[in-house]
Amino acid sequence: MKFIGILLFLSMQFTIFSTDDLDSLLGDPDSTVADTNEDDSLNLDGFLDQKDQIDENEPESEEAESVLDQILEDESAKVSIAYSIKAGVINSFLSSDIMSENYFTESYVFEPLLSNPVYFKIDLRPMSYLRFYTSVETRVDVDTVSYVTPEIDQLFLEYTISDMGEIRFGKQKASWGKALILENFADYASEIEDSISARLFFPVLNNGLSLYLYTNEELFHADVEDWKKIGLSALLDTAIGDYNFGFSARLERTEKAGFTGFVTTVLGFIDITSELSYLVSHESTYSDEISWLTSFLYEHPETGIQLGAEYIFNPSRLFMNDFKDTEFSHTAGLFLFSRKTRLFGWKTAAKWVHDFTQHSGEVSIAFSRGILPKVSMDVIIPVSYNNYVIEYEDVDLPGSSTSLILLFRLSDTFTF
Amino acid sequence: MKILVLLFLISFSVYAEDSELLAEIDSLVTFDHTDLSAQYDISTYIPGTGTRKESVLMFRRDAENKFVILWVGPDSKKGKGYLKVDNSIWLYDPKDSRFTASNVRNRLSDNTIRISDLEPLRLQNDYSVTNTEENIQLGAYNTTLLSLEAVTETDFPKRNIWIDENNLIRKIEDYSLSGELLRTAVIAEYTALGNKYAIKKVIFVDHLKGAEIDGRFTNERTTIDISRHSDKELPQMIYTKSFLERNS
Repeated sequence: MKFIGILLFLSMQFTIFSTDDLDSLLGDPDSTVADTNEDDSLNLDGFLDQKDQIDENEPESEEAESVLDQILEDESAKVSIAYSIKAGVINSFLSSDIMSENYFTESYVFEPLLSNPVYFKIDLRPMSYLRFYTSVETRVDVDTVSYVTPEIDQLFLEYTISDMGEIRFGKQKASWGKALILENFADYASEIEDSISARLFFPVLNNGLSLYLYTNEELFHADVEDWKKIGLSALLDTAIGDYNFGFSARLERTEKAGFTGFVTTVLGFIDITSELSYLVSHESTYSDEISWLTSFLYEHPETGIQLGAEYIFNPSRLFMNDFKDTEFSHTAGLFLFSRKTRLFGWKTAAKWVHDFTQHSGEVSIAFSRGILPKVSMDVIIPVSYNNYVIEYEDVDLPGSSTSLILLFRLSDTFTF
Repeated sequence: MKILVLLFLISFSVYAEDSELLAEIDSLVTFDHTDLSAQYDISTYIPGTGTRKESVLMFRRDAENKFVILWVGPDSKKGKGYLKVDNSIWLYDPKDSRFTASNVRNRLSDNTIRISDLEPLRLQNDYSVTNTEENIQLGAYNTTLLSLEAVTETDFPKRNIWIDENNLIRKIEDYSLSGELLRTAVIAEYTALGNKYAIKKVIFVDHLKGAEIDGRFTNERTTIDISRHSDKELPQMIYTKSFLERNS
């Protein structure tokens, strides 16, 4: 915590001028700009030297409507290729308590990291109400130096029915839920990514209602008996006054049914969110589950530094038959993220996650900066304790270790 | 007693007059019965660094207190968007296809522009007039200077506004509660849409940001050129999260 406090303090020192400095530099408010800048264009009142000739009867020209036209009525076809090459190393130093258990003979684990996804995207809008979108992912297999079989990331057809709603059919993505660094337990849309789904969207109650009817893609294989895996997810997200609130639900024949309610409001300068999820089991051998997230988010208006806290309380074992050994699960997390303020030129982020049930967790700090055009360098230092396992880029870092991840990223997008 | 009643009546009449004037100023730039859409080309000069440019499309429905902002440039920000309904904002980032909700976000971007700058004026609701000075020459304009103090929670507790003969605001100074000048804005051009007015060009100077260049302190300044105004009624679908997703 002290470390995070020092970081926050240092970051603010680099960006906020003291009042004394400003007073001496700015002088009289009305003459500030003219006095301190040689460039005449900075004399604001100079912009008013000539009277504004307001055209009182400006006709509704074609140009006047074109903002909306650009969005809704223009026919367009966009093809883009995006690549992102990441190369680096993970060097994990194991703590002495793990080494003493002889799990590892070495005091450190070394893992090279390489990922090079390439996305081909096509976005066709032949008519204002019709859209076809596909995104295909491939990558180079470094061992065989050949492209692996491309995978469909998204592929859907979308139809907008004027002001009534929207239908989208195909393979698509969505993400619900409020947790940012802890388990996002209310993301009832996560399974949509691996399925074929139809989405209906209706503009109601200040925003809208999304309905997804989805099925496992194996439904289309004749020999698969898993045809019952058809699900329905719904999300209503709206706002009234200072409150953003909503409800979501998931109904599936082979999974637990889920219901979630959430509300976000503001207290002073802090966003407060509460989200409660209830999973109902179809079978008596499995227990129902409750998860409750409470989170706080503060963003400094000048520096953009975000400071957040999340806490998840999971009293699921209340529903288990063997109530004697009830243990509630608690997880908490803190994070600091600098959206625009740099620490010695580096973007900085830090997080701490602690599982109170297992008495384990991680503290991670990350730095990132551009070093060449399109190339950035990341330095990440995750420290885990009590066998807490951190996953990074599909690599499981050993529990109770301190790792140093050095990563170079080259990425770009070409649009035609 | 009579004197007290007279004083009360006079101050009430002045208050009512001021309130009426603020209502008139608000009304000229508020589109109660139509939507407003426009393109904002925002150019921020950061001393010692250079000029950063971005473009957003803005769709506003004042009667329902909602608006949508969609970034169309530069490429690094293209597809990002805000949907604001009452005091809630949904932020959409196409990189992770995810919305985050916030009630405290008040900046449009990494510059001096507040989200409230894009919203309809609510001077009558948010401020009371503490002082009025007439016949102040501001460039070519004969203006009236109104000193305002916030009566609700707003971005700026104190403001000075200069209004021209048509009651259009030409200059604003925004102050902190302690009286420190935070920002100055000059509205150089308006365009008329029916009997309403929309801003065409506005220049902001941020008095808290800047850098010393050749021994002189230069403030960060942001110029917004607003074009392609339209008061055409827009579909309800525009003011939804789905619209942002679709156009990301």
